[in-house]
Amino acid sequence: MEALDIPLARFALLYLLLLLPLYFLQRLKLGLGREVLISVVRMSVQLFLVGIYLKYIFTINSLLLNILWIVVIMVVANLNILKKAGLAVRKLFWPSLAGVACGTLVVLGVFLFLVVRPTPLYDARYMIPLAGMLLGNCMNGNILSLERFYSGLRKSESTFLSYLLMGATLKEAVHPFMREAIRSSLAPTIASMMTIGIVSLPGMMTGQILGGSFPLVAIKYQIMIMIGIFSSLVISMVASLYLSLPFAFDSMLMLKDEIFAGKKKG
Amino acid sequence: MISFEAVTISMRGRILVQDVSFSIMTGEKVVLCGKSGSGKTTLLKALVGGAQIMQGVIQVGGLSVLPENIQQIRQDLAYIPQDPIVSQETAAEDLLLPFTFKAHSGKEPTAAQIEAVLSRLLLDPAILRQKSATLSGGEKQRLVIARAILLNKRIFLADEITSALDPESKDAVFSFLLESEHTVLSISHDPEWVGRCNRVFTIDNGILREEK
Repeated sequence: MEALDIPLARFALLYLLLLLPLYFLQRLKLGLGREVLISVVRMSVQLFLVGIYLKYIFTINSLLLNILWIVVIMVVANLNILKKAGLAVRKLFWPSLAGVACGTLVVLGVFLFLVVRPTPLYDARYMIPLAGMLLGNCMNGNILSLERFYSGLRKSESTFLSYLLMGATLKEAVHPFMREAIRSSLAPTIASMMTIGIVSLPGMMTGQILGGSFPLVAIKYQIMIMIGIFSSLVISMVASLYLSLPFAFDSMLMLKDEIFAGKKKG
Repeated sequence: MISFEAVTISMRGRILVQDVSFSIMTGEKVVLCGKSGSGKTTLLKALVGGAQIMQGVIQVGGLSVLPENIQQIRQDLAYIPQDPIVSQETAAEDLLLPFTFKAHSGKEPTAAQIEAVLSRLLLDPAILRQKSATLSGGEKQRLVIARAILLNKRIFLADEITSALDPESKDAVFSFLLESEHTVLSISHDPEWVGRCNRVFTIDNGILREEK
């Protein structure tokens, strides 16, 4: 079974559908019209370009090209994490990238080598979308955990200092802040696992069903991806937080001001 | 003994403390007064390694505040903030928190030691079963002081500790700090506390002066 292709003329109707929300936004004088149009154009162009790129990458199906693609999206995701978390890219680029790589690659390895086992193992049709889905979720989780961890430490400097004065090592002193950052960053993922299938049908599963897969096959993939997302999220959060510690504290174990975006040393 | 010798501290290009020199003998009770933003807290932070010293030397018990000594220096110092932040757990867990750290593991105080410290601070041992968050400001501060005593701290850094206390707590905290053998370096605007300290310093725009 294959998904029904949508002829271009009918595809264009989708854009006409946008006139309705744009009308409401206009009536409410929200001033979002221009922003919505730009985002719709960007989304369409980006997805078309990715579609063309993926068509070639699937045809060529080269291990090297697949790895290169994953490295590129990991770097882009990492830059986005640090920017959105308000942290200095030049200070935390490598530890944060290593954390993201740990979370994504461990789970991707389990998917490809142990669970799905496509032929070849690096088959782009599996490797690329699975990596993209894991990375997208890691990105959102890591933005939250890094932002909450470091802003929490900055806001509660005297509490952190009092832990050091009580004899805590750096790891012991940051532990309560880390626990809180991870707990609150995981909450949305746990909540979505609780309601998945009841409130919403996940995008991947919907896509597979529309693409012709049997629902029971689509469900297996969806469960795999949910467990994978949760695992890669926890691994990448913990790894990024721990790996960033040596770069974020000075020799007196105090938080360096220059790890925050826009802050210079001294 | 604590000594500051020609200490200048700046942060992000702004001088916070300029050419400050003074020393405190063991057991002295010292208070720093001054407007908000005058550099008082920076001086306390510098003592525990929380501010970068641009010039000069700070020493605690003969050790300079440098990365290689900071752990040993911190062992002697206790910080008592205006509004101590406690956990969502019980007061007993907060009191014994440092003993969950590697540095103090296996050195937990006995029940008798805990009771003796609490009674010295006029604290009812029954509060240990309460959630810390439900304690009054004065009880929280005394809990933090009790923790410092159990850790054998010798120097107390007290930051505006008397501003939000009820009379009973204030008496208990004053009596303990003033009558103990501990060295106390405090920040305060409370005339009663200022009047009872051995030495009073004022700091204005980063420049320190001792009141006679």
